[in-house]
Amino acid sequence: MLNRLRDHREAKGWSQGELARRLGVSRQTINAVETDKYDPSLPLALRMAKLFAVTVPDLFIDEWEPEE
Amino acid sequence: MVEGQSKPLWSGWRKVAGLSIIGGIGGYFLGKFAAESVNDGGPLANLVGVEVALLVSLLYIMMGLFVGLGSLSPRVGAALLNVEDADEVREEGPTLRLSAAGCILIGISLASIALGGAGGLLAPTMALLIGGVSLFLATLLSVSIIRKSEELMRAVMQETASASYYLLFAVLGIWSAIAYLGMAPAPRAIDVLTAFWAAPLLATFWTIGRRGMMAPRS
Repeated sequence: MLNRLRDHREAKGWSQGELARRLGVSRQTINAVETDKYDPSLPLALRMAKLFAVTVPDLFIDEWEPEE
Repeated sequence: MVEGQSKPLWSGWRKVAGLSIIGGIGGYFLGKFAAESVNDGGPLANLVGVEVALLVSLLYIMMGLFVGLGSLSPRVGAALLNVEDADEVREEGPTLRLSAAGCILIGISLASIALGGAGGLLAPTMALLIGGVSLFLATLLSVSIIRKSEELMRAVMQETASASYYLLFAVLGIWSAIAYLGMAPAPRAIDVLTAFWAAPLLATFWTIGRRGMMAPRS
C-alpha cells in the first residue's frame, strides 16, 4: 500500500532509526513500510498517525471506493 | 551514511552480486568437498540422501557463520549484511547473534544425525546425543528470537511457516503418493528429515525475496 511515511518523517527531520526508536520497532520495519514492502499492523499504523498528528488515511493511501 | 539520503543503487546491487558470487563459489567447493568425502569409497558411499542432508547442514552452518561474523564486527556486518549501516548492525546485534547461533546448531544437529545412520561415521547414540542437544539449544534460541522479534519479523516468520508447510506438502506428499503407487522409491527417514530443514530455508528466501527484502535498501 502506498504511503506518505517518508514525507512525514523527513518533514520532522528524523532519520529512519529515530522514527523506529520512537515507535518501538526496527529500522528495517520503517524501511520496509516506506518502500511499500510491508503494510504495518493496525496498532502500528495508529501509532504512526498519532506520532505525526495526522489521520491514518493521511498516511496510507487506499484507492478503493465503495460501490454506489 | 546519513539516513534519508539515498544510496547509489549500483552500490547495493554490487554488494549483492559480490556476495552471491562468493556464496556460489564457496557453496560449490564446500558441497563438492562434502560429496567427495562421503563418496570417497567410505561407508556412506552412494547414499544420496546423506549427501543432500550434509549439503543442507552446510548451508545452515555457512549462513550462521556469515551472519555471526557480520554481527560481531559492525563494520564488516555493514558490508556483508543487508543493513543501512554499522549502527543498524549494533542495534540488531543481539538478534543477529542468536539467529547465527541457531543456524549453526541446526546445521550441526542435521549433520550429526546424517552421519549417524547405518554404517555412518558417528555411532547412533553419539549422533542422537549431539543432534538432540543441538536441536534443543536451537529451539531455546528460537523462542528467545521470537520474543525479541517485532511485527515485521513476526509477519515474515508466519509467512515462512505457512510456505514451508505447502512446500513440504508438495514435495513429500507428491513423492509419497508416487512411491505408494510403486512408481518411485519411497522417501527414506533421512530424506524426510532433510526436507523438514530444507523447506524453511527455501521458504525464508522465497518469502523475503517476494517481499523485495533481498534487494539493497533504498
